[in-house]
Amino acid sequence: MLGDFLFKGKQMKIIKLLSLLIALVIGTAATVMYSGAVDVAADEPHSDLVYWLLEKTRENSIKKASQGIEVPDLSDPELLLTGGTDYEFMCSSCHLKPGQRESDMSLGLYPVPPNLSLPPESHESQEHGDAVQGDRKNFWVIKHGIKASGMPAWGKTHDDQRIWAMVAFIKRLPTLTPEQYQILTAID
Amino acid sequence: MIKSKIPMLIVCLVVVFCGNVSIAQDNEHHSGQKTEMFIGVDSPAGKVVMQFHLALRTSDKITARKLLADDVLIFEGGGVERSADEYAHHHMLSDMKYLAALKSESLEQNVKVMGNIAVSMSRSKTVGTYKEKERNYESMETMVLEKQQGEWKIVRIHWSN
Repeated sequence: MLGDFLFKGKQMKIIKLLSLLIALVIGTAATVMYSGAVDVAADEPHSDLVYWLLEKTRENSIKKASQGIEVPDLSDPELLLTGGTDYEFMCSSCHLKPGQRESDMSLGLYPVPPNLSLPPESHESQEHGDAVQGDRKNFWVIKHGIKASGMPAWGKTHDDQRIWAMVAFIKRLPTLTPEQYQILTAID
Repeated sequence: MIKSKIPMLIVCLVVVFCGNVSIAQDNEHHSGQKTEMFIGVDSPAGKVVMQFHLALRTSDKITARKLLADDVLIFEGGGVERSADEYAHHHMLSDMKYLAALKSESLEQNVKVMGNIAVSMSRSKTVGTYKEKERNYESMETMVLEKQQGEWKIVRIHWSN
């Protein structure tokens, strides 16, 4: 009987402590939200911790979401022409062209859009598996966009075939010279 | 009365003369030493380093990015950045805001050019207040530059303080 009483007493203590913690967390979150203390300016970089948290969350989310995507044959030259034209009009202002290092958009956006005209900054081996995973991720990102980043969900206005054409073009983009880029992206 | 003061006058003149000579020699020694603290800064590679420092201090993102090789390797604050874009997209923005708020003085810079490679080693003193915290410290920097297609580009940076 005494044991039961003591056990229930301990349980109540834990519940009270947990309730207090939850109330503190909610209170802190509300204070932060309504105080306006968080700087959301795009020209004010995140702290290293927040930056790392956001980057890792985004990378892992895209990796998981894109896992089951089947990558078609991207070697058809016709894909490069279709993809190139779309890249020029939809992507190049942010993701840049060969020989370009910045644009008004790339300087002003935060997170900064990756420069797709440069090779990916991966130091892993370029085996078939890694390249395919890269294609899956690119497809997913182009189709679904990324919240609060400036990256639109092009899937709302472009079908999968057109998006795969862009993926094929982005794959070749780092190997293109500015002249080759101009030829591939010119409209008839 | 004047005659008795002449020896004293001579002694004073000798003391003043010797003092001036000593001060002049001291100045010359220090000026020589100061010159030795800045070597090779007028070389093309040295100028690139100075332009980079200025670009960071004046938040000139375009120039700063342009002076970095695309595959630059940067060691900073225990972390590694493995490309110019990786640096430019985050830390460079923070570094620019930080340096804009503080006063930096170059204490020493030594640039050695060996063909298409140059190494710059420098020290600087930074003082001021940033985010309500007083800062007063010396920092060190090692940069390696490579001449790529006729232009000097920064390929390695190591910052520490």
